Amino acid sequence: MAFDGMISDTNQQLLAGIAHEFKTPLTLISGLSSELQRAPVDPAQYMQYVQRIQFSSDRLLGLVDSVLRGYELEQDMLELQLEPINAQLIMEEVAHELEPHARKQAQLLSVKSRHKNTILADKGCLHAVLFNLLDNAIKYSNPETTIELEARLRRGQAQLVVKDRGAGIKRSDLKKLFAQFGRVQRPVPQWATTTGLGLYIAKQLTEAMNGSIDLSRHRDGTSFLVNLQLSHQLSLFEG
Amino acid sequence: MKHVLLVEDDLWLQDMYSRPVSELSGVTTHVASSASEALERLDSQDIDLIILDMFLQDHNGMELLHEIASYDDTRNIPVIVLSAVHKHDFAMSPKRWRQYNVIDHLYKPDVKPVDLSAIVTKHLVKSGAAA
Repeated sequence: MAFDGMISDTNQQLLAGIAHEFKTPLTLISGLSSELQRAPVDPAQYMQYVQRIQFSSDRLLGLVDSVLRGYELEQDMLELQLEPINAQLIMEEVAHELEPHARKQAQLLSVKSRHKNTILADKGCLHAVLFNLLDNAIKYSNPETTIELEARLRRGQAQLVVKDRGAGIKRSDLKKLFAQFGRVQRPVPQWATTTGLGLYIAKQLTEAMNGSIDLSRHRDGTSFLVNLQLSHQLSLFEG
Repeated sequence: MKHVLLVEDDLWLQDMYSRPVSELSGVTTHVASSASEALERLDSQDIDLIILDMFLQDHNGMELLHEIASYDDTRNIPVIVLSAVHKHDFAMSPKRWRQYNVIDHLYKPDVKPVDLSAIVTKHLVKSGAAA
């Protein structure tokens, strides 16, 4: 499974996917920077351009971080630091980072938590998991819909839910959904070309944190369910 | 007044590319963020030049090119392809591009917004539709 052992077609697929995914934010950073240098702009427009450059940079960093963590995991180089984490806060953080991406399609992001417990996770890895799942949900959801993130308790565990509002996934596509480079036949917008690694990385990172990812289909989309352990003190509180 | 239609589904890229083109004297810029929206614009407005992103949400650009080439009143509109994919990575022969009246290919990461307005001017002049 290591990247070194992949056949060249797979390497090419990986590189092409990553390259394409990075092009939109890079084009925005480059183009908007050149516009700011070309001519004076009014303060409102200046702020809008700077925010778009900032968001595009953050999105690129998120993508790079995700790919690197996937690589470290493959190479057995990933060192996890499991610690108590407030689920609501990290969901809000990821939602805040990707909110401009959702706003482009007039989508809303809703974050809610039905409990105040903390979960046991590696902060960077959990961030990468939620970033990939939410990025994916934004791509697959229809315009003018609300994508929901929710933390809840299920069978003594924490469950973080990312619920998209799109065309859903065919039953026959479920198995390959988390496969490396697996990209299922959903009517994804063509611009939403992905590395095909996002869900695979999310699953591997979650399992590395002693958790699991389940999937629940519903009439108007799909929910990805990230199951993680509660942190020790609050597991006792919950019990 | 000459009319340019920019078809781009990423709204930030659409805004970024349309602004400098809109600043050209004698040019009105129309925007569409999907193939169906582009066809509506073509129905309601005589367009002199189309700038087309090849990857759209509802159709791919190839289908839209085919559609544009199917109608008498649109098949002669010159098209500039603006894409994050290099020209040589499309499975299209030069002859096929010409059949679709594609007069230029621009690779997004290489094209600054101000470059696009210069290229639009060049092609409007060349096609005799100078502002």
